[in-house]
Amino acid sequence: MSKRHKLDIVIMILCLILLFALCFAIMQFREDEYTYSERSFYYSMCSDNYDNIASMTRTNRAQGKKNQAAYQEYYALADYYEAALYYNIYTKAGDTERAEIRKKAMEDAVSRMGTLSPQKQRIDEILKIE
Amino acid sequence: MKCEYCMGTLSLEDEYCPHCGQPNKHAKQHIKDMKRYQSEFENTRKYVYEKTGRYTDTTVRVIVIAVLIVMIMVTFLIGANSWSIRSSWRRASANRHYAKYSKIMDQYLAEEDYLSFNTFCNENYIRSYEEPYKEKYCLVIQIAGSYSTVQDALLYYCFLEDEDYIEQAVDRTVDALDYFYRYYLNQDDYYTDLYGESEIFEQAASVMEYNIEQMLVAYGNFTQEEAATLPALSKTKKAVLLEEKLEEKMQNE
Repeated sequence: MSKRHKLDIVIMILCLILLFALCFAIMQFREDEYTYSERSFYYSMCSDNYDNIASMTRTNRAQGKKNQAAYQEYYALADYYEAALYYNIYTKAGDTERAEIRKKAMEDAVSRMGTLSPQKQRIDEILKIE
Repeated sequence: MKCEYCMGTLSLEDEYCPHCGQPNKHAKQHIKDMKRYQSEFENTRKYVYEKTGRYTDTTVRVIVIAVLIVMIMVTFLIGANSWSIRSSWRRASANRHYAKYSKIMDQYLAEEDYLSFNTFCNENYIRSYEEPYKEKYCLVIQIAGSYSTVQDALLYYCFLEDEDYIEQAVDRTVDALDYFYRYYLNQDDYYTDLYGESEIFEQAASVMEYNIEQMLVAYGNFTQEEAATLPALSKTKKAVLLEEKLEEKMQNE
């Protein structure tokens, strides 16, 4: 093999390494800006992990991403869960003012839940909402 | 030169005399020599071109390899430092958008949504100790972060179903609560020199403390009195009380 051919092989290997390095750099940058997919919301909902849904909603909203219609029902579910959690807390504490605010938030969230409306019952069960 | 037969004028390149047509003996040798010189010249030129060409090809390849190595090193360096590059970039962006972001933050504070406030600050790299957020929000950003940790721990504690994880739930909750109470609600000396509007901090701290107490009452099987005395307890006593309440709750369920 001539010297030129050996150098050509070295160049090809270095190009592959550069491609790998570019992919690594891009992945590192994208990792820092992680948002949650619909699939993550779905799996959390299936395992009744509504707190996780609320956390993922806050992250997506904070980054101003994933605002498509497909996500809005999950966000409404998160809003209902959080409102219901605090509604129960304030009701038992006798804090009617705050409870009323949360009640309105719950009603608003239910109107946005669409196909996920049946989840309301499950949340009420877990949080023991009367 | 002259033709040796007719003495006519002819040149060295003429193979035959243009006057008498006789062969030019000198021209034959000359032409033969010229052909030889031409051939040697062509061979030398070909050799030089080949040699130089090979040298140029090699040089170009070596330069390409050197450039590729430098690009690979720079790319890996950028990738490895992506967090700090992105962090600097996002912090600069947060500074540029202070008016817009502070409106959103004020909205969250008005709604007492401290978890969203904390998430917003984290995701947008709003740091409590950096201008222009430091002046107004330093303390409340700090306490919101601690409150978020407490909330996570409390939700895990209050909705725990597996008895095997009682100790883990209690430890996590005690650590979070202890830190929150010690550094933010008991005015520990550590935080006396922090910036931030004390009014919004006090309002937020008051609501957070209230929420924690009421969550323990609503979901943690605490009485109002027990929840109210929790901040004053030592870490060990907090752990004992939390464990007692959780076991009691699980037995009742």
